[in-house]
Order: sequence, then structure tokens, then C-alpha cells
Amino acid sequence: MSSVCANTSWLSNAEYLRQFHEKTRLQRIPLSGSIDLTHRCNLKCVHCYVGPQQTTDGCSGREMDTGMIMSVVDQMTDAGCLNLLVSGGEPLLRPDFAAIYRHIKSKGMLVTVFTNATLITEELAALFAGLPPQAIEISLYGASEVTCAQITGVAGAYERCMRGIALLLEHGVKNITLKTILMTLNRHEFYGIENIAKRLGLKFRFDACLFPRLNGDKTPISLRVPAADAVAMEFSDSERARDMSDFYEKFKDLPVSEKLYVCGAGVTYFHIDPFGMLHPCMMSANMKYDLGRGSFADGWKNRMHLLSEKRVSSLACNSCDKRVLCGTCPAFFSLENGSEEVHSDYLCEIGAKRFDNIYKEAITGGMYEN
Amino acid sequence: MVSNIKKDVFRKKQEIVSRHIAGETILVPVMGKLAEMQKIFTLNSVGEFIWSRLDGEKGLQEIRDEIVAAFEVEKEQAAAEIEEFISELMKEDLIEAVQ
Repeated sequence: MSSVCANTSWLSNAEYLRQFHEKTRLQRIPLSGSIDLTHRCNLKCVHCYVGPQQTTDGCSGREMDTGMIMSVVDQMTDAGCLNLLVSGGEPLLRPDFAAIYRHIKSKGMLVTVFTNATLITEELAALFAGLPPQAIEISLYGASEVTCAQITGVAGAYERCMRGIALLLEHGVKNITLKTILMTLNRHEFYGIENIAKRLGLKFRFDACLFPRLNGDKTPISLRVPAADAVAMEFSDSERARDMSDFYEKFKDLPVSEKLYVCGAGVTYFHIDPFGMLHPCMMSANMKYDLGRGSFADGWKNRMHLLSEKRVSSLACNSCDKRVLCGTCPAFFSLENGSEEVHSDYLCEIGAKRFDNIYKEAITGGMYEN
Repeated sequence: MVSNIKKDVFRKKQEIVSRHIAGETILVPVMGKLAEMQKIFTLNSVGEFIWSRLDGEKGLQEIRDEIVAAFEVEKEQAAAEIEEFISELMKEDLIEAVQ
């Protein structure tokens, strides 16, 4: 050995990260995943993809118990999971949330929590302050009580969410993102929500690509804002516009793939539903492995790879020059159109509008206004 | 043992969890400022060799001798590398000296 250089290096170093991710991809290590602790929720959002079971408490008996969740967390840690998203439903509904969160943190995982923040207590805020998550992403669907109540079906949701955010901030919790789903019911308050994030010093992001519920109910997509309007809102912020342009520049020349799924689902990414089913991703509800009957390692090794091995037969998206801009996803298509290979017109429009905006930004040097 | 390091015995901070993923050793702070700042670290093979021996009992001289034996390097080179590495770990608040 010529050198014993023992220098530490930042994992955030871009080149190191790229190499590390490439290594995990080649070795098919489940580096990132998500776990829904419950599909129950204290809100009844009109657009929620989880569906009617969110309104019932009856399904909690089928949920994984604390012991099984702890065991599954141990198994995913052994398999190499570093980034874990904890979501729901509303994960804070579970009385054992704090114990589960502590356990995940103790395993050395970088945890992101999705919550509506309405159930944040002093104790939970202190928990997040003491054991900082990688991120807490808070969903807020309006800048007023009226709009929030209309979307969530619960009076007082806005006030409770704002109180939850205040508690987190009072305890010094960092890395909070405020996010929303842009829809016909709240588009008039979009900038109001964004301004709340700015006023509180939080990051902000939004998504307009509503998709059907996992049970096939297409109600949510009737709430979509026209793609042109959604993209105009996206590009109304210079930083968002620049991020999108940079993203396009970085990935626009990716080679055309014969694989149907070109994402990390089943390659470096997994999802676990509240009932102990392992999936390649949250949207791939039909491909599953029962963790109550077998191990995470077995399900990952022998089942989840099947998604990434699917080949394209008729879908043209993989050769489209705007494919990095639309969020193309065969599982999304399947939910919307009943087939993985029948694309979503809405996503196509989103991609085309983004491309137009990037092109106009480029030729006007950023002076273009929507 | 090492010129610029006054203490000889160190231990890992309790809030640092060591992970082994894809042949890499990754240090993940789970609480405190480093966790808030979303910092994580990676070690090369020698760094991992030293890190695994910072147990609050073993002295740096003993670790140096183990490096010499394991990696077939001169004592001076091993000592210099340990000094640099320990300084780095102290600077990043990943270890603490044992009184």
C-alpha cells in the first residue's frame, strides 16, 4: 500500500455522491425508500391518492404493529437503506410515532417526515429538535381557513397547521419545507401559500400533477389546473425557473432506454405500505411482497427487480426530447389510463410548456415574463 | 505519541452512527449541530481502520502499531496520518478525548 491517507471527505461532494449513487445502482442496493406508517388521516383531503380508507379508523387493525415496523426498519438498514421517507396518511396519528422515529434515527438513517403538522405537540417538536430530521415537509393547501377547510374537509385545519409550524420553529427545528398541491380549489391562494413560506423562512415547493387514487377513483384529476397555468406559476419564481433549466441541461442528453421504468424504483428505491407490503415505489401498488411472510432482503432480491426489467413495447416517451421535463412515469400512466404504456396528456402538456419556458428564458436572457 | 495531539485515547461521539453501504463507511450524526446541518462523512479503508479502534481504551500508539502491521508502512508515516486524521475528526466534532 503506497499511502495510508485517511482523510475524511464530505459525502455531499458532488463527484463523490455521483460515484456512490452509481455504485449503489450497479449493486442494486436499496439506498432510499419510503414507509407509510398508516393510511389513516385526521384530514379528508379531496385530492388524496390514498382514498376512502383515510376516513376510517377501522383499518388500523391491519396496520403493522410497532414490533413489525421496528423489525422492518432493522432489515432495511441491513440491506443498505440510508434515506428514508416516513409518510402516511398522517404518520403522527400513530401513538408509537416517537418510538418508531427514535428507532429509525438510531439506525443512522437520514429521515424525512411528511406531515400535515396539525398534530404537532410540544413533545413532538422537542423530539424533532433533539433528533433533527433531514427534512420535515408540511402540506398546506390554502392560505386561508376557508380554502383549507374546503380541501381538507376539516374546519380549523389551517389554524392547527400554522400552530404546528410555530411549535417547530419555537423549538428551533430546521430544514422545514412548506409544500402544496396546486389545484383548481386553491390556485387563487397559491402565491399566498408561497408567501407564508417566505415569511416564516421555510423552503417551498409545489406539485400540480394530481393523479387518481390508488383504488382507481379518478376524482383527483378533475381538480387539475391547466398545464399552461401551472407551469406559468412554476416559472414565476426565478430560482424555480433556473432549477428547472439546470435540470434540463443536466439530463437532456440521457441515452434512450429500452426499459419501461428508467427511474430508481426497484433498483435503489422501495416503498412499504402500512400493511407490510413491499413495493418498488408508492405508485406500483400491484407489485408487492408481503413482509409478514418473508424478509425484506428476500423481497428486495427476488421480487422488486421485476419492475426495472420491464421493456418498452409501444410507449414513445423514452425517446421524447422533453422526457426529462414532464415527470414521465409508467405507474402514473397506469393509474390514469389503465396501462403503463398509454401516456398522460397532462404530463405531456406540462413537459411541453416547461420546454417552451426554458427556450424563451434562454433566448431572452431571463427577461421573459409569463 | 503524536506531536500535536495532547491526548492519546479517544472515543467516538455517541451521536455518530457508523454505516457500511456499498463497501463504503459512512458516519451519520443523528443529533446535534452536525445533524441539523445535514452533514455526513465517509471514510476510506485506513480511516475506517482507525475509526473502528477509537473505543475510549486503545491509545494512538497502539493503533499506529496496528496500522504499521496491517498496511506495511513506516511508523513515522503511520503516525503522521493518524495525527492528520484525528485532528480532522476533532475539528468535525466526531470524537472526544478520554480524560
